[in-house]
Amino acid sequence: MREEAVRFGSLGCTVGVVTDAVLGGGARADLVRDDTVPLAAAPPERPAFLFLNAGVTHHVGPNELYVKLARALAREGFPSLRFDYSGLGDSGRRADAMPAVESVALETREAMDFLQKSRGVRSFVPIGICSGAINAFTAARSDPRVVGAVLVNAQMHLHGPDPALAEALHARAMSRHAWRIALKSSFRSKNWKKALGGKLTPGRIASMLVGGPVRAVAGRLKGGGGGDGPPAPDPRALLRELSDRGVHLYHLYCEGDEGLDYFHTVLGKGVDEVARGERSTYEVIAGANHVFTLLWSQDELVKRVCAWAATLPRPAPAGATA
Amino acid sequence: MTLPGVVHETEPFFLEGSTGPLYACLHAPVGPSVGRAWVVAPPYGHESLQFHRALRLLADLLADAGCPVLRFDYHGTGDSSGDARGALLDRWFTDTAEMIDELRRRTGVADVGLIGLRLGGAVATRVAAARPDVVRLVLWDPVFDGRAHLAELRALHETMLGYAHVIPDATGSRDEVLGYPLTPALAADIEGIDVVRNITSRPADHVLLVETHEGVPQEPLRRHLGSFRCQLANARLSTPQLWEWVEDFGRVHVPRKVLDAIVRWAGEGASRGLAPGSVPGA
Repeated sequence: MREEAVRFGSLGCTVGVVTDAVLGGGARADLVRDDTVPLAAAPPERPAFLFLNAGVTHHVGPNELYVKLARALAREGFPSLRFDYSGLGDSGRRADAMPAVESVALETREAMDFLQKSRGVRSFVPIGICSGAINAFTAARSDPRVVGAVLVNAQMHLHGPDPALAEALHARAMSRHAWRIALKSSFRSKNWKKALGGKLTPGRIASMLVGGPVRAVAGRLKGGGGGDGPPAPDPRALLRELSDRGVHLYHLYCEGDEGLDYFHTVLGKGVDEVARGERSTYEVIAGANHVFTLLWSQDELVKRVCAWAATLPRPAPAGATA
Repeated sequence: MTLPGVVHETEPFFLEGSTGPLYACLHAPVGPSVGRAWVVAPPYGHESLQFHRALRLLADLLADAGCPVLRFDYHGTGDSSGDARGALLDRWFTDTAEMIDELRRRTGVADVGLIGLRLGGAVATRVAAARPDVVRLVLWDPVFDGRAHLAELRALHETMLGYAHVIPDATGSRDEVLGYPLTPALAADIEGIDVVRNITSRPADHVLLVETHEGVPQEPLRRHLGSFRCQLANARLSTPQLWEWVEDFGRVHVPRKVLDAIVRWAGEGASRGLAPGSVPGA
């Protein structure tokens, strides 16, 4: 395994670690760079994965999952870069007061530019957990070099910028979450034991089961999505647009995560049809929580992402015509 | 070096250590150096993640005060080589000692102190005790009783299993605690930590003991360190919210008052403009 600590970006303050693909890794060793050949002369044909910060967790990811994923993907022949946005982790802080939404977009592009220049990589797969998944989705929509995206426990990414709609969707998703966890999930017996054992107060139970629907109805009455905000995009159209561009999307959720309920709420009954279309994959890891606390769930995440990565088509060699 | 348009940049690198490549970040002093540098020995497991932001800020504050700082990941942790399933304390002692040498080599500063948090406190104490050239030691809620630490970790893990949306592996045989491996070998290493019994000579001339975790009173360690002829300072800044396991990684606490106390103590007696290699008060 060869890893390099790097600093890049227009300000030179973005810090990350590149994991190069392992020689002979993956099913097709010919796709992998030979360590004896200069990097610029032998770019990997496979896309590079970009690991995007999950919340304020630095570039190793929750429970160091990004390191595990990067090394597993390298063994399958995929290079990667895990890095910190400015002001997070080991990166410096910008002095120009650029809004975060702009600096995140800029620094994601700069990460791709860096790998393109230093490794000759031409296509990318952003991957993120939680807020990192939202940024991965945004990158997939905005940069033509993105050929795939792994969205782990993504939420609030498919409905557009209307805050009133966001509030209403969140309330509906939380209501669905409470009922699902209580009645349908693998955790239901554990949670009822907690409730009967007095570990959950009646107020907390009422808040979960009744408060959510009340907030959801209130959100609808307030006209979430129908107010003065920008028109809400059709989430199915968003996904179709990416698929039509040739972008492969992988929505992966933990059973215990609220994002799963957002996904179902925003896509409605057609979730299976929409999310399992061409170039689109949707899976759930049963028994796992938001940050994959248990080791078996970490191993499962790594296994599934590597399996999905293996299905990505090989990009055309540089200079080839369509 | 200061990058234009950037506040608090760091220089990341891999050190070819004897346990394998080790990831590290060097924080250069802002302005003239005070001729005193620090290596940070991090905690392990979920604490390494929860305290990364705090230790990063601590390094920035020390750099602002003129001190170069080196943060790093032990073998098998963070970005360093190796798997956490192969993590062992002996390797971490070696890693920490090599980081001291590397910081000296890179900065030319002879006066290098150690800052250890939790398990890093145990590591830092042992390394300092073995190296007379380390004259300053900051111990932030250090683990001095390995058995008690293991019991605390396992209790937290059990609590997590009770309320988090997780279903344990059907085999139930995994050695883990709060998202990180706890192999029998590492557990035995931790269990063997007994600073009061095992550290029999003064670990450093100047020691700051920072206590923020009321659940783990440091009284026995304080008494033990007091029995040596060292200048022992004590900062008690109860911060209970630091010691709750949080599933939501957006809720990381940065205890500024603790960091300020360390920076104040770390800068005592130092002044800007000292030539590299000089040791204040030596």
